[in-house]
Amino acid sequence: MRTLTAALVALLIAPVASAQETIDLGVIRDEDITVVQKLLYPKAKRTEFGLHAGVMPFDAYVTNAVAQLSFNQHLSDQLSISVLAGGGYGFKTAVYRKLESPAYGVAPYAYRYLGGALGGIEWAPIYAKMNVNGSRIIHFDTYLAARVGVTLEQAVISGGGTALAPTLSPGIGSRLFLSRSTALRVEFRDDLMLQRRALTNTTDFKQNANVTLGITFLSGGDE
Amino acid sequence: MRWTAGLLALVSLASCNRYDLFLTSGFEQESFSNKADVVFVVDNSDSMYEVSASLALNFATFIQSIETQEEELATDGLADAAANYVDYVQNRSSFVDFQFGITTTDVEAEVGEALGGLYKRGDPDLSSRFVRTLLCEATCFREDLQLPTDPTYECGQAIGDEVTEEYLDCVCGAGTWQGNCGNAVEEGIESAYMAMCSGVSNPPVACFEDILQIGDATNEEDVLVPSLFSDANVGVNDGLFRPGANTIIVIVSDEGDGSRRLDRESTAEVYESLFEQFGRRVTFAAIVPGLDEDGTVSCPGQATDWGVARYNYLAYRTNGLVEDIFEPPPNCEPRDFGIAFEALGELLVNLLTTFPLASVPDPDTLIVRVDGNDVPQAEITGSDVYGFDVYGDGWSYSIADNAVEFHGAAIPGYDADVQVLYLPIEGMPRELPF
Repeated sequence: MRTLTAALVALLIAPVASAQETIDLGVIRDEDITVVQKLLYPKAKRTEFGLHAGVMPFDAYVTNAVAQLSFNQHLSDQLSISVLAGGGYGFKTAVYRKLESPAYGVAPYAYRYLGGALGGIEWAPIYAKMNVNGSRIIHFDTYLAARVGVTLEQAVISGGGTALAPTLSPGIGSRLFLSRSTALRVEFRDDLMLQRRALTNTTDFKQNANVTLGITFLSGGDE
Repeated sequence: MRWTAGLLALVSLASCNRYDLFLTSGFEQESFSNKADVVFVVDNSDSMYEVSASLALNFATFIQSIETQEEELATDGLADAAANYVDYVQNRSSFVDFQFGITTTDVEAEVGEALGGLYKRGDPDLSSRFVRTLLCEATCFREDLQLPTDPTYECGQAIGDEVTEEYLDCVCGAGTWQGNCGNAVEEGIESAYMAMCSGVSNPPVACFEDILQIGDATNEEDVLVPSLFSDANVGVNDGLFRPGANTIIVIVSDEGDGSRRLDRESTAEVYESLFEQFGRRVTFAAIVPGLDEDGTVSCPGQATDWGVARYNYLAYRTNGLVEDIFEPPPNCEPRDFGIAFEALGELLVNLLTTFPLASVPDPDTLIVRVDGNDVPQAEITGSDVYGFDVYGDGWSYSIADNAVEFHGAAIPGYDADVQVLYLPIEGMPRELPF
C-alpha cells in the first residue's frame, strides 16, 4: 500500500516538474544576445573579386577619377588578404584653371593619379544586420584595411615628370550583401605616399583620399 | 610619445597637399604685338643716290608683300566674317600693323626728325608718299649729276624701272630735288637715337646731355659736344613709336657709322644701353657694306671697318638682320633692294625671339613650350666674334635680361603660343586668391 501511494504521488508531481524545466531552457534574455544569430553571408575560406569606380575629390588642384579591381582571399570571417590594382586620370579643378589663367599666371606643380597597386590585410570585426524601413533586413560588415604598394602619378605641368611613389594606405569600408555571392562595397581610403618630384628635385608627402563604390563577387555562393 | 605620433599622423592626414607654384609667363597669341614701327635711317651722302633710287623702285613691291589687300575681302554676312577670320589666323603675317618713318644719317640737320610725317598701313598713297620723301628730301642728287631722262613721262604716272629727272621734277618740284646732301660724317645710330628721343613724351635725360669726346692720338684735347636735342625736339616724332609696338631701325648706308658717342669702336654698347632706356623692343636691320671673314669691308670704298662693324653689332645683339648693300666682289654694284626687302619682310613677321620673365626663375625649373610642345634647351656651340655664346636650336636663359631667348629653328612663328613655366626664386610676386 505504501508503495502504491508513492507511485501515485510520483505520477501527479512528475508532469509539473517537467513543464517547469522546458520553460527555463527555451528563454534567451536580450542581454544574453551578443552576435547575429544567423550569419547568412559567411566569408571564411571564400575568395572575392570586385570592380570599383571612385573619385579622389579632396585635392585643391586635381580631381581624379579612378577605376580599380580588387581581390580578397578570406582567411576567416574577420580576416582577409586584400589586393587592389587601379588606374585613373586627374583633371584640373576650377581653382587650377583660374590660377593658370593670364590673370594670375601660376601653374601649381600638382600631380595627377595614373595608377597603382596595393596589397595588405582587411580586418572585419563587425558583421551586422540592419532593418530598413521596417520591411527589409540588410546584412553588412565593416572592415578596416591596411595596405602598402606603389602609386604612379604624373605632373599636371607637361614635361614635369612622373613619380612612382611608395604608398601606405589605411582604409575603412563596408560590404552590403546583396546575395550569397554578391555584395556592394564602399570604401574610404587614404593613399599616403612619398613622391619624388623632378622639377623641384624634392621628395614630398602627398595623400590621395578617395572614395570607391563597387560590386564584388564571392566564390562558393551556392553552398 | 604615442600621443605625439598619433597627433602627427592626424595632422598629416588632415592637411592639404602642398605643391610648388610655378609662374607661367604667358605669351599667348593675343599678347603678341603685331605692331611694327619701322624707321628708315637713310644715308644722304652723294655716293648714295643709286642706292636710294633702288630703294625707291623696290619699296612699292615691299609694301605689297606685307600688306593684305583688305578691300578685297568681302564683308557680307557671317560666312564672309568667318572666312576673313580664317585668313587672319592662317596668314597673320599679312596683318602686321606697320607704320614707317624716314630720317637721314645727317643728325646735325635732321636731329632724327621723321621727314614727311608718318606712313601708316592702309594709307592708299603710302608707297608714293614714302618714295617722294625718300627721293625729294633724303637723297643726295648732286647738281652736276646726270640722271636718266624720259621725255615721254607725264606727271602722275608710276615710277617705272628707273628714277628719271622728269619723274623727280614731277613729284618733288622742278629742280628742288637737287643738292639735298647730308653731312659727310654719317651718324646712323645717333640719328636713330635722336628719332626715338623725339618720339616719346618723356625722353631719357641722356637725350639732352652734352657729349664729352675724350681726346686721343689724333685729337689730343677733350671736346664737349653740345647736345643737338632740346625741349623743342620733344614730341616732334609724336606717334612714330606706339605703345607696345616693336621698333625696327633700318639703316641704309654705303658707309660705316660715325656716331658721336663712340670713338672708332667696333661695338656699340653705349648705344645699346641708351636704347634700352626707352623700355621698348628695338631691332636693328643694317643694309650696309659687307664685311669679309677678317672683319674688313669687302668692297672698296670709304666705309670704315669699325663703322660697319658696329652696325653689324647692333643688328646681331637685337636679333636683327644684316644685308650687304653691294653685290659681292668683284662686281660691287649697288644690290637689288628686292632681296633686302624680302629679308626685312621676314624680320617683320619673326620679331619675337626673346621673352622676358616677370620674376627671376630657378633656371633648373624652366620649361619652355611652343604651341604645347616642349622645346629643348639649346646647347652652346661656340662663341662669336664679340665673345658671346653661340647656341644651337632651342632656348637659353639670359640672366642679364631675365629672359628666355629662342635660337635657330626653335624661334617661334608670329602666331605661336609660347609658354614659359618656372619656379620663382623669391616666391610669388603677387598675392594669390587662394
